[in-house]
Formats: sequence, C-alpha cells, structure tokens
Amino acid sequence: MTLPPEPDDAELERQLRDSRGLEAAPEHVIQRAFTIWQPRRPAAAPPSLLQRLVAVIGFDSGWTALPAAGVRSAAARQRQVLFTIGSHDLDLRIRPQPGEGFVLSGQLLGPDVRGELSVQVAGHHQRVALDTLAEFRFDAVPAGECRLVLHLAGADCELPPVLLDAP
Amino acid sequence: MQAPAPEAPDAALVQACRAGDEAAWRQLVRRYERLVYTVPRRAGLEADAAAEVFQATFTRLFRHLDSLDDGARVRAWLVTTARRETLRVLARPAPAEAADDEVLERLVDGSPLPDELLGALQQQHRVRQAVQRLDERSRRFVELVFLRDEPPPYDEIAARLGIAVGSIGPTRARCLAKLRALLAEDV
Repeated sequence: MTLPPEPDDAELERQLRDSRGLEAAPEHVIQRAFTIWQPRRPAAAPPSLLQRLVAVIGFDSGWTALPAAGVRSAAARQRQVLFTIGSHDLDLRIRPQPGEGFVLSGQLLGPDVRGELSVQVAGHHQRVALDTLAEFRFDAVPAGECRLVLHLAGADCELPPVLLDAP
Repeated sequence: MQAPAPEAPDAALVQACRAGDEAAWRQLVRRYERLVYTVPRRAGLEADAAAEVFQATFTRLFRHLDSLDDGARVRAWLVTTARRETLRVLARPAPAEAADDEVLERLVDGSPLPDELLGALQQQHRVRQAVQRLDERSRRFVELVFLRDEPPPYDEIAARLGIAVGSIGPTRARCLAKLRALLAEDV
C-alpha cells in the first residue's frame, strides 16, 4: 500500500477535514487493549565486538542408542551435546554417517536466533546459516577434533572442541 | 524504565515494547486507536463487533512484536490485520433476527474495505499524527479551523488565538506548510 505524494494546501485541507471521520475508540475499549500487555523478558542484546562470549558444555550424553528396535550398528547411535553461550543454548546432535564421517545437526535456542555456524575438523571446513527455525546441519564431517564457531551479529563464539570419534 | 518520548517514531515504540516497556505499549495503542477502530466501523460493524476487532488486532500485534520485520511498518501491519479481523467477523453466519442487509450486501460485493479506503484512512492517520507534533499555537489553529464539525467564525478564531482576523489566512498557510514538512519526515 503506497503512500500518496505530499498534498498541496487544498488536498491537505481536505485530508484534515476527512480525518474527522477517524472514529475514537471508546475509552473502555482502549483500556482493555492495555491489559493485553504481559511482562516480557527483554530480548538479549546482540553481543558486541567488545564482548567476549564464553561457551561451556552443559550436557554431553556420550554415545547413546537411537530408539530403533532390532538395529545394532554404529549408525544407530547418537551423541547429544548442549552448549550454553550467554543467553543462548546450542543443541548439537552427532550421528555417524557410514563411510562418510559424521552428521552434525541441531538448533540454537534463545532470543534473536539469527546467525551462522561453522565447523572445522583438520582441513575440512563448512559454514551454514541457521534456518528460520534456527536449525543447522553439516554432512560428511570427518573424524577428529571438531571446532564449532557460532557467528552472531557483532561477535563470534568458539565452542569448546568436541572429539568426533567412532562410537 | 523511562517512557518513550511522545513523538517517538513507531520503530522506537515497537523496540521499547520488545524490551518490556509497558508504557510504550500503551503509547502504541493510543497512537493507533482511532485508525484501528475506524477500520471495522467503516465496514459497517456495530460498536461491540468493532471492539472485538480492536482487541483481536492489538492482541495479534502483541504476539507478533518480535517477528515484525520492520517496526516502522506497524501502521500498515495494524491496518492489514484489522481488515483481516473485520472480514473474519463479517464472514460469520449472522443470526436471522439480527441480519444487517447493508453489511451482508457489502460482503457479497466482496469489497467492504477496498485498498483505496484503507490507504485514505492511513493518510488521514498520518495527518492527525502530524497535527499532534505541531507547536501548540499551530495545533490549536488547525484544530479550530479544520477538525471541528462546525468551525467557528473567523472573528471567534481570532479572538481565541489572540490574533488579528486578517492574519488568519497567512497563519493558515504557515500551519499547512509546517504540517507538510512534518509529513515529509514521516515516510
């Protein structure tokens, strides 16, 4: 819906007079709309370049079997690692990908979850943008010490390294 | 938390709401109450139904505060949402004894709230908001001359404002120029 060009005097006078037709809402209706308000947790300010983001591992499940009855294979195992980065959490799932290394997937949780994630293992490097659900996925990540870096507006955060090894 | 300035732009009000400032929410409701209420009323809804649309529209705004791509677009967002809520109410099956032929005819027509009308309402809202940002003398002049259902005669206007009748014309031109400048800032 585009705005009209700025009006001349005659048109502005007409718009002023027409604006009398903007009907005031009854005060009780306005007061009721005020009550829609609920306390909000302010979105965390994006980290500035001067801020040093510290990430810690909050949880590491180790290798656990996936709930697939009757299946015994390395491919049926998963490891979950939960990182805490300020007001965000990063949920990382690691699954072996037979013949192709590992699949790393997960989700960034918290306010204003926009950014990118990169992974580096030896000479292998990938970088992906978080999708609309703040999820990510890396395929064919080779074994070794894995370094993930979360790229947010104004700051990067390197997560503690995770060793990708066979379950 | 200090309340946003009365002349704070929409984007600043939305940002303050996101930050948990209830005073900013109230200011946002006050700023748009006429526009949001007028949309359903122009579609022919009675006061109760218009109030329902009003509440639903601002409820949706509160729930979508974080997902508004551009806080400066909240005016267009509110009008679009108010129209959608109005159409939703209009589409309800009407009780036989309360059938409003005029409303039903408009619904059948398919255009109870055409884009042109909504555009005009938004422009009228912009103009009214610009009036609120005028200096006090200019605002009083504009309100007396243009916003009364029956503007008083010139000699009464001159007496109320403490000006000569002969200066009403030039004052009118100056006020309109100030309004136009304010409108040019608000794009």
